[in-house]
This record gives sequence, C-alpha cells and structure tokens, in this order.
Amino acid sequence: MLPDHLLHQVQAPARYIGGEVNQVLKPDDVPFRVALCYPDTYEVGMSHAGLRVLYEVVSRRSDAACERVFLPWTDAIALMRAHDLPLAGLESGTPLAEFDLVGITLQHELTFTNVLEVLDLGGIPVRAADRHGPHPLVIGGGPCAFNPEPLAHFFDCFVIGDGEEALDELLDALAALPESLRTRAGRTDEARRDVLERLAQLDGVYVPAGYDACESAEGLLIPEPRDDRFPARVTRRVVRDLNAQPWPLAPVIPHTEAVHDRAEIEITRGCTRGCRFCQAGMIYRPARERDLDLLVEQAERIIDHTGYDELSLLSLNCPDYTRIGELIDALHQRLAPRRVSVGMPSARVDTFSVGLAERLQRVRKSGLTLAPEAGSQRMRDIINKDVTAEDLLAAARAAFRSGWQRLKLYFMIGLPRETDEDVLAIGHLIASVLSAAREELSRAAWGRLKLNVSVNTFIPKPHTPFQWLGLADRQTLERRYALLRAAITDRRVSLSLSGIDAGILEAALARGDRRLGAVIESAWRAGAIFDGWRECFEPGRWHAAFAEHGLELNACASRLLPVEARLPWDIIHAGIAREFLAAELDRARRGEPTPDCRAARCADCGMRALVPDCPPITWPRAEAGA
Amino acid sequence: MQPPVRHFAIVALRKAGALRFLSHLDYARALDRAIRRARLPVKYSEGFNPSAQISFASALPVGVGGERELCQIELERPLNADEVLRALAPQLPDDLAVVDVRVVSGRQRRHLSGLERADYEIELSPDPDLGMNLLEDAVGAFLDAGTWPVLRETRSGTREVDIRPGVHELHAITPGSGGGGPRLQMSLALQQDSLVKPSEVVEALRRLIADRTQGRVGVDVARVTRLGMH
Repeated sequence: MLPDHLLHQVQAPARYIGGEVNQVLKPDDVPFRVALCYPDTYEVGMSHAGLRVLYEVVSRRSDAACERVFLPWTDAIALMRAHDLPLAGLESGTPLAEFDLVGITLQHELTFTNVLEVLDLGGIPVRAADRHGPHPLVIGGGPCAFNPEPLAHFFDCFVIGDGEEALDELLDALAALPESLRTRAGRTDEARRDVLERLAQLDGVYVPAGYDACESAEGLLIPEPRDDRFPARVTRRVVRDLNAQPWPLAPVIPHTEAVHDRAEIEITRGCTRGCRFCQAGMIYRPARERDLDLLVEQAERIIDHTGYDELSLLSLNCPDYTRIGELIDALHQRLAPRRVSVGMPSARVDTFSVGLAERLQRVRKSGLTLAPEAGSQRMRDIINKDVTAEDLLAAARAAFRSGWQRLKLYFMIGLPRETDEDVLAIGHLIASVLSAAREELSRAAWGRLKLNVSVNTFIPKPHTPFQWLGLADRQTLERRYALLRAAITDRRVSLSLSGIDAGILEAALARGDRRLGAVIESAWRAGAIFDGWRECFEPGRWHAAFAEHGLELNACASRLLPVEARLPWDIIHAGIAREFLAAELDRARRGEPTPDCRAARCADCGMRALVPDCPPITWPRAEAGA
Repeated sequence: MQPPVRHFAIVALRKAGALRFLSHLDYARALDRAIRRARLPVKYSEGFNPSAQISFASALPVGVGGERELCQIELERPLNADEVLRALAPQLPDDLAVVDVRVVSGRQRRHLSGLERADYEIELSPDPDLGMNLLEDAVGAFLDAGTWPVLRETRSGTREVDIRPGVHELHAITPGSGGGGPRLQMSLALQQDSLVKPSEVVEALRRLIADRTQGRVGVDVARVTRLGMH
C-alpha cells in the first residue's frame, strides 16, 4: 500500500505492511474477493472480535478470499493522496475498488466520516448512486446499522444482526448468480441494480436504494419500499446456537500493539438484564451461551496458535454465564501452567463478581471495573440498573480485602429525569467507597489507592426504551459536569469525563434520518475525520455542516419524539416489540423495575416471535446475584 | 555462594523485508509469542507479573533490517541447539527467520553485553550525479578527519559528541549488477560510551558531498541493514 520510502516517513509504519502471523492468503483466481474494513486505525480495528469472526467466515470458504482494511492515520493519508496511492487490502495489496465486496463494520457514530474517507481513498464513489456496474458492493453491518438511515446514501446494502450466517448466505447468493451479474468486470449498471434487488430478498438485508425517504407528520424522513420487491421491514438475523458458529482459533496477530491485544473467547452473546439505556442489551437478545467444554477447547487452541499470554472472556456480562465458576476454574487449570492470565472485562457490581474476578486473577492481577452507572437509587430504578449502593459498597469492600488497590467505576450523566441531586449522589457514592477503602486497607495500601472514575454522557439510542428522548441540553450537561468536578476533589480519585461536543454529535447521528447523509458528506468534505479522536475532532465543522442543510446540531441531538411517531429506524425490526419499549419508558417514568427474564417470568419483549424457544437460557437459582 | 548454573539459547535472527518496519517493541513481542507458540521451556522472572527471560543485544531503529540480530533466551533446562532451532523456526515468518542457534550453560547471566561493534550496509538511491569518485572522496575526507563532532538530543538537552573514534571502518562500494545505487559499508562502535549511529555517518557524508558540489548533490538512503554485531 505504501512503498518503502514512504513507510520511512510515517508514524508506526507496521500498521501498513500486512504479512502478520495467521493472515490467510488465497490464490489470485478465487471467485470472490472480500474486503472487511473497520473504519478506524489498525490498532483499534485489529482489536475488534466481530471482524475476526467474519474474516474466519469468509476465509474458510473455498470460493472467497478475505482481506483486512483499516483507515490509515492522517500522516499516511496525506502521503497516499499526494502520491495517488489507493487504499488497499493488507493481505495482497489489492486496491479497495477491485474487491467484489467491501464490508464495513459500523461500531460507532463517530466513525461515519471515516467510512467516507475509506471509500474515497479506495477509489470508490462515496455515494451508492454514483457507483457503476464494476464497482464493489459496499455492505454495512454492526450496531449502527440498526439505524441505517444516516448512512443510507453511502451503502449498497446493510446486513442487520448476527453476521455469521448472513454473510455466508450472501456469498452463496452471489455465487449462484449468472455470470453477467456475478462478475464485476464488465457488469452493467442495470446488472448491478438487479444484483441488489436479489440481495434485498435475503433475510436481514436492507437495500436502501429500494426505499424512498418520505416525510412524516413530525418532519422525519421515513423509508418506504418502492415496490413489493423490497420488504416493508427488515428483520434482524439471530443465530440460535453459538456452538455451531465459527470462532477464529488462529486469529491474525497484530504487528503493533492493538488496543485489545489478547486471545478472546465469546462466552455469551446478548443480555436480558434490561438496562433501559443499553442498546446492546436490546438488540442482541436473547442471551445465548457457548458450552463450557467447547470454550475451554477454543481457549487452548487460540493460545497454541497465537502465543498470547492473556485470555479475555467476551460477554456483555461475564458473571451471567450459567457455569461461570466452573468455567473459570477449568480455564485456570489448563492455562495457568502455560502462564496465561484470564481476564473478564466487565464485572457486575456484586460480591459474587468480585469473588470471580479474584479467582480469575491468580496469574496476574490487573484492575477491577465496576459499573453502577448512576449515583442515586432513584436514577438506577429509572434506568433499570439492578444494583444498590449497598451492593457497590459490599463489592468494593470485597475487592479491597482481596488486595485490589485500583478500582475503576463507570457512571453516566444526562440520564432521563436526572436532577442535580442525582449527579451529586455520584460524589456521595464515591465518598462512601473511599471510607470503605480506609477501613479495609492497610495504611500503606490506602496510600496507594486509586479510584478511576469514568463518566460518560448518556446518549439515547434507537431500539431502546429511551429512543424517543433527547440528549440533555448543553447547558445542563455543562452544569452537571461542573458539579461533579467540584464534588470530587480527593486526590485518590482520578476523574475522566467524556467530551460534551462529541456526545452531542453522537446523539444527533444516532437518531438521525436520511437527511443526515448530506450533512455527513459536507462535514467530511470540510475535513472532518477521526471524529472519535480528541486531537482530530472539530465541532465547528459539524455545526456548519448541519447549518448548511438547514438543521441545527444541538436541536437534532436533543429532539424529543412522540411515542406514536413513525421513526426512521422502524424499517429495522430488531426483535423487540415497540409496545415493550414504550411500556419500559412508562415504567422508567414510574421508577419501576423489570426483572431479567432468565430468572423471573418472560417480560414480553417480543423476542418470542423471532426465537420461539426464547429465552434459551434460564437460571435455576432464584437469581444469580448470590 | 556461587551463582546457579543457567541455560541459554543465543539466537541469531534475520529481520528483513517489510518486517524491518516493526519497532523494537513489536519485534520483541513477536519473538516472545513465537517462543510461546514453540513451547520452549523459557525461564520466567519471579514476582507479581512474571515475564519471559528474553533479552536483546541492541535495538534496531524502525525501518532498519538486520542479518544477524541477536537475542538470548534463558531456558528452564538445557536443550541442544538443534532442538531450539526445530521448535522455533516454524513459528517465525519468513522475514523474521532464525539464522542460527547456539546454546550455552554456565554461571554467566549476560551473553550479549560484550559486543563492541556493529557492521552496517547502507544502500543509496541511484543518482547519476553521485558518482563513485565523489562518494569515495567524501569517505576519504571523513576518515582523514581527526574528529567529527555531532549534536545529539538527550533527555537532559543537546550534547556534542565526537563520532569519529567510533567509526572503525567505512568503505564505498560500486553498485551491483542487479541495479540499485552505490553502497556504504561501515563498522561502528556499539558500546554506550562510544556508540555511533549509521544515520550520523550518512549525515557527515551528506555534508561533505554538499560542500564539494555547492549543495547540488544530495544523498538519499534506500535501505539500511545491520549485517552483524561482534
């Protein structure tokens, strides 16, 4: 992608050279060439497990080659543009425009301008309407595809939900096409449209060009199918049995240290705890698990093939795995002699979880993270976070007694119906954690104590009970962040606060309609790129881009939508019934909890229509909070 | 009390092709993982965060290749060189290949600290204005100079260092038949107190050539390779 003399001129050139251990090279004559792109840096993209799974799905087919593509850093982009070098796959150096499919994962709204940069740098017209027959098909997936409308202009299609089976089916469908449609070279524009119409017949595939965006009574652009070749709603794909799904046992090992550079096994997918702010907890239902024996086997094979000294358990909530204690012990027994440490990124706020974390960290002790999410009980009831101050203090005490001197705590502010008192309650909670530490820790350990408190702005996301609510307005957020800063002064606490401007942009893009396509394009043309990186993000460009198209950024972010309104993302059926989301919003207003359906009765979220035997996992114990 | 007997494998590796763009840290991590995949019985440090006992002769700058980069691996038990080679070689990519292995057991802890010199080959980009006469003349002038002060950035500020005593050999070599520009071969001091970087020698020649051509002719480096250390 970059010749040697240019590699000498960029930071971290190893990002651009390819040839990593375990990369999969295919012969030149395979029928399909698939590029899988994470539209951010190599270090971020190589950390993403979903991309590794899809790499495995494509690579194990005999008829397809898969290559990785990331967005070069700005120094390399400038050199590539100056020397007219296209963005290319890391495996073979094939320019992006010469692939049959370009799959782009959409993990975060602040990577949207990166998507346009990837396409443009790869020599592909950014707008789907400007692409011709031989151009690659550009396919989006990931959580941001659950509201595809802001990016509808730039993608030929989206695959909604679990990608393993869907991507395989999509490649099967392409393989079955007649030669004139399948082969990129010489394909006519009409043939390309024909291909997309056929793909629109597949379950979980949304082809935005088949839908006109029509203005609703509330002034929102709602996609309407042009004719009956395009489904009225696209239903999310759900894999039933995780055990039957591929998992990469020999993942590509990044050359340069990735953000998460370790072996990973996915123990569960989906979570039904029902936190009302959490999009992942809504769009990946139901909770599914892999069998214990399979997981232990996978872990050993990955260590064999990579030489990693760290294994991480992937799950929205690790302690919810039915046999978590047995799993940890089995992994420890097999891996400790090989000096592999086992880590769990997320711990529930209870002593049970701290006990698990302690059992996990017998090889190496790293930090412990607890996420009470809100400071007051009132607020936690509103968001359905099933945790009390007593739980947190008991968990913290247990952690201190087990020798942890570093604790990370996650909170959100700007939550629905939040008051200044709720924000100050975060300060009180931290003060009680400090007093607990003082009682539990030795004088020396107390001196070394560090609480890392991370506070993010709550962003209302589609397909959640809070999808109708707006982001808290800027003045409120500014005041509450200031209150929090003033309330937390202990030098043992290091406070990390998210940026308000980035939150406003994320909120506006998350619930946007098709109008935002032009806004994103304008911002990108004005230079917006790497918006998720503080050193690159410039809010001014975005305010100007919104204004250019007659919109106001702050207003878009904070807009309150009527519960009866049709929403731009209603085109996607995530599996959760709209009535359930609306009922959850009502219960939030009343501060009423909704228990986890694995332990209590079915909450009627609507998933049974998609998965008849839902929930596939139930807990025999009264509640796993023991 | 006598120190215990320790067992080491001293491995020479070739860092070439695109992998010369790995940073030293990335290279060390790649080797650590290859050793773990090879399941060599590596000795680990004691303490809270045990780490494999692997150490390196000298870090290569990003972008510089090496024909014989040395590292020492402490083993839990003695192995013969062939066992180490057969386990490790299949775990390394072509551009990070094992050149040879020797094993040593004894009371000594460090086997790479006595290296005094590093030999480099630098290929210059072809340039019709940069003839062999000009290059040889500059090389001669540099070798004839009694001292050659350069400025080095250190943590405590800029410091003047004389590199001339640390340049033990320096030759210009005519371009080979396979294309490419002229080459420079040099043998440079490796020890901390007299260390010379190949880029500093190139910079000296660049200045000498600029002086001789009123700034008309530059020196553009195509590739730097460390041939070995001894």
